[in-house]
Amino acid sequence: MQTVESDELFGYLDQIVNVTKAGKINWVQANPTTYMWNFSTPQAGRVIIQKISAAETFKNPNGTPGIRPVVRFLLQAIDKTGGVKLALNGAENVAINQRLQSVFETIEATIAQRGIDFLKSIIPPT
Amino acid sequence: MAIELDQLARAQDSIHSIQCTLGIPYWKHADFWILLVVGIASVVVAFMAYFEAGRAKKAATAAGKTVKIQTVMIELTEISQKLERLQPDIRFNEVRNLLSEISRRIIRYVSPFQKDPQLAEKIDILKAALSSAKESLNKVRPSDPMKEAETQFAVYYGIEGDFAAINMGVADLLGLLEKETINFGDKNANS
Repeated sequence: MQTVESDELFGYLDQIVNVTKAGKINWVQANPTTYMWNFSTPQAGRVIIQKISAAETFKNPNGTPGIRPVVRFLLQAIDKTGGVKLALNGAENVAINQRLQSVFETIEATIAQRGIDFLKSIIPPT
Repeated sequence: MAIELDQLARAQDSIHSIQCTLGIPYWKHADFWILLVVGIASVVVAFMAYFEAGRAKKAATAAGKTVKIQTVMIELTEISQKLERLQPDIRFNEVRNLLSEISRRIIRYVSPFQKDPQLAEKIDILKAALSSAKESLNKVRPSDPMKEAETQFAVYYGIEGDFAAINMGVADLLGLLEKETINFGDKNANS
């Protein structure tokens, strides 16, 4: 899995946040924690972003082992052949994880707003 | 007349002989000491038999426990191997079936040891990992099962951490159970 941390990459992630807010990307919810963006221009492919919650074992201050939830984000850019062209794993880098969290939350909020707008549009005026 | 006197004299002798015998204390009789020794030996042997039977019962119970532990270890090892074979392209329904199976089996095998102070903590962690895996699986339930393949590996990524935690918990428990059987062997070797 590729690890990329650069201003350029963060710039692209910020750009995704902005165009998502502007409603220019049609994100689709694949499952409760995964969103997918299918595109056909300039070339076919898709971007998938996933929020992953997992259990992690750890030692308490008193030495007893315990289990705690850990949340990380994963973004994959896939070409038309299904090959993964870019994979960003938040587990490998805190800064990337925070940026992916921002992307994920923006998508989540946009889709929620889209649902509210749809509901608003179908309710007859009083 | 002479015959009667003779019989009387013999009777007197017999009475005298009886009086002499009765006059000797019983502890001066050899047969008393023989019977006493035999009696004490019998009591000692009976006590030894009682204690040996107790020890044999204890050993048999421990041996039964060891056999049970070994059976559980075989089952847990099989579960661990199953978890290690998890493939990235696994589908949601396959993971659901696998999680359901391993949860049922793990709970069944570890339940008898739930109150064991050596194992209780590890069992709780394992159960917490199973619960976490169940929650994680619900979070990757495909909105449209027909399009599940489009988000490749999403299910795997969603549950791999929890399955790794389950596998670690199983391995931890296996180690402790192995230690238990080794301890049992050592105790028997010493006794």
